[in-house]
Amino acid sequence: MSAPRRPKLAPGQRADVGLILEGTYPYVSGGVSSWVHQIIRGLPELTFSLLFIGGDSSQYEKMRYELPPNVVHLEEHYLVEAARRQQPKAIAGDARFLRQSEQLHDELRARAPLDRGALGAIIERLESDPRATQDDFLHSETAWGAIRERYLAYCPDLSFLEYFWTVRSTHAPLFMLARAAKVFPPARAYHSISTGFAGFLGMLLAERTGRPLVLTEHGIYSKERKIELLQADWLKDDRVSGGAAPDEVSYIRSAWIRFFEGLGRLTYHAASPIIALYDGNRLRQIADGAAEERTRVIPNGIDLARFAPLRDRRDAKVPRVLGLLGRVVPIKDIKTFIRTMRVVCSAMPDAEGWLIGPEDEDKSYARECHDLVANLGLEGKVKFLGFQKPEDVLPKLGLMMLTSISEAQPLVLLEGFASGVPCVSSDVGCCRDLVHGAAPEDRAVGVAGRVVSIANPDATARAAIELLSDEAAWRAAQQAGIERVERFYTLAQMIDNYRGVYGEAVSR
Amino acid sequence: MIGLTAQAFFPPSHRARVRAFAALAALVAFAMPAVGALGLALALGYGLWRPQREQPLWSETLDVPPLLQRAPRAPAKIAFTADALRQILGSRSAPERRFRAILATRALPPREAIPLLKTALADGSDEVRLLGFSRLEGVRREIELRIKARLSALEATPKDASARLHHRVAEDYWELAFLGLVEGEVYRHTLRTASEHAIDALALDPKNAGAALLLARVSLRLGDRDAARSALEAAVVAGMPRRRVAPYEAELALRDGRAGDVAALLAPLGGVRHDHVALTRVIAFWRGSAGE
Repeated sequence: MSAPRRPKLAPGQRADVGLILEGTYPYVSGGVSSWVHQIIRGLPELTFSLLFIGGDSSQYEKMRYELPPNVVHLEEHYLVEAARRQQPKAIAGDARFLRQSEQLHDELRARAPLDRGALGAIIERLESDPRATQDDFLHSETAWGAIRERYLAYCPDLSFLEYFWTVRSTHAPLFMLARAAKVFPPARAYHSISTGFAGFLGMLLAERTGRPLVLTEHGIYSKERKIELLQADWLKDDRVSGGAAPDEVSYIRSAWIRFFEGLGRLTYHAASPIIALYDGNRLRQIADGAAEERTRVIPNGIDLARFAPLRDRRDAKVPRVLGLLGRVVPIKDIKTFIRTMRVVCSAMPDAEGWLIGPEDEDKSYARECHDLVANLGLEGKVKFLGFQKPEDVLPKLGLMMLTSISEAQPLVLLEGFASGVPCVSSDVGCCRDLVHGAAPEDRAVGVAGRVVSIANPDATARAAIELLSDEAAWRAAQQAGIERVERFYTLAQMIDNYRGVYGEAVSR
Repeated sequence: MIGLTAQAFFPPSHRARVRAFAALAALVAFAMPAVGALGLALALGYGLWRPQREQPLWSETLDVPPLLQRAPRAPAKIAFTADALRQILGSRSAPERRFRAILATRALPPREAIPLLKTALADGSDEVRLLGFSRLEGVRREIELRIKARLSALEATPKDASARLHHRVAEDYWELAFLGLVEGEVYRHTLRTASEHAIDALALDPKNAGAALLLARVSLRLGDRDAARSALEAAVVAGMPRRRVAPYEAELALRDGRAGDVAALLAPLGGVRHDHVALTRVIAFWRGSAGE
């Protein structure tokens, strides 16, 4: 394979849309990345510049997608670089900037409306000299005093060291992002695919250039970070105070959670429109601080021309193959799929489970999954196929399995429906709507599979066995899936929606 | 006296003047009461007369400090019961309250916490559901990693020295099943695996009473009464106290349909404490003392 294309815009040139991507396209494969690829390819009349934000450059060495010709610029920024680049020096600091920063923190903490003056002044200062602002915040005597005061005011029973390093760790990447905003080529509109660091950078770019920021959230970023942080073992609970009460989150964990919620609110403050994939997530965005009038729903869409022909490649007999298309990562709860296969194989010895997706994102989890297969005596029954082209595997599946513990609107279910594969899905995101239908005319189409509660191998297996052993039920589910996706979830509809969103934004 | 004593330490060139020095010392000693009293009176008089010009060093005027945003807190000692948390999780309480109930399960023993966490898997709130899931997975993963480490150790251990390891692996698989972390066919598979390792442990060390008792418990759960009976006998032969075997012998008798034997089998437990009033009649029945 030839070296991947790495386009760069010349100084003074600009793209139509600046896409800001955190931990996804083009370096990570998955639902969000596929969606970005679809959007770029579906709108060849627009040019795109890509700004990728990653954790550590060593995790993103290989591009997973060939960039379409209308991608005119790609640059990467890595958060760990923020910590490496610090060079402490003694300075007095800017008391006015610190006061404004404190005011903003107070507003975020109190979930109060954001004061345009304080936020604007901070952004202006960040944009004018990100390096000096970083030095002010991280190394100045004034900042030291402010950190000390807030420590005494909010958590005097906590270890000061832990508080101090939490403040530094959370804020250091923001200055790195401010530097990135300064060098990223201008665009006629910006589009962030999440809140978090990408959303913060989107806000800075929108403020610096005066151009609009569009936000699309697949999952809810701040919610996902919250769950991760609650389980993170690299965070120590309050040591000095003797620990939080059993029903409380410790102060440091809360501080991290508040930090990401704060980034979410800043992004919602700057973005318009704020797009969700389904109404449940739109309501969640409003609850988290998005202005209702700026929110809207644009569902995912499937390229029917690509997937519909796969129906003709299916055998007449329903194959007893249960396929899970997805990365081998904890959020997909691959272990529940493997346990499900233990139950299915006991009832249907000729059944097979295929895990179709890359294993390199979380290698220790992938190893645990292989061990579980061995422990449950499923060697030869559960197969790890690695990344495969959907066209090659979909016609061979009897059921599309989805055991994820968190999703928004998984493309794999829609791709399965379009190819004539009904599903058994965990009850997450809008999967229930995809299987049973959302609006009345959608529900009238029928049920395209089965929905079960998360982490329930027995119920998942029962549903799979029921569909695989009742051909009439399977055929009915197949027809409902095909009709649903053809009527409500086509790529053409989605691309048209985004053509409208971008058209409005670039002409603003 | 002082003068004469001090003379001994004087340099030789000064010893001639010792008489004058002794006279001076005697004069100072004689006048000291009067001179001391006069000095003290003058010092006190000056101190009282002199106007105070500065604030004393030990005091300073301060502004009233602002109230702390959060009062320092004593280490938390709040107790939660499984019943109270179950009520919260089963009710239509606010998601935040249910979320805190799941957090509070950290204070419960795993055997009580796990059924509550499983309830959370069907909760309508994403946060509650995901927190419940990740806590369950945390417990399960810890045991699975332990199993993996012990299985690796087993591979590296000569067969005749591996009895203890087989016993530990059997206990780990049993723990997965006992805590309710596996269900259905996976539960049965887990018990079967526990049984295999317990049998291996006993084959290598027939005097391992713990492994025999574990095998009996696993066999009871699997519904294999003959295997349970043999294992219980093996446990007793290996020296397991009757008192520890009795509950499982009683369970086996019940499963055999020998309900009449249960009271006698439980007799060694005699004075078991029970705190639940509702159980009084049940216990009396099984002890054969109902209606007395």
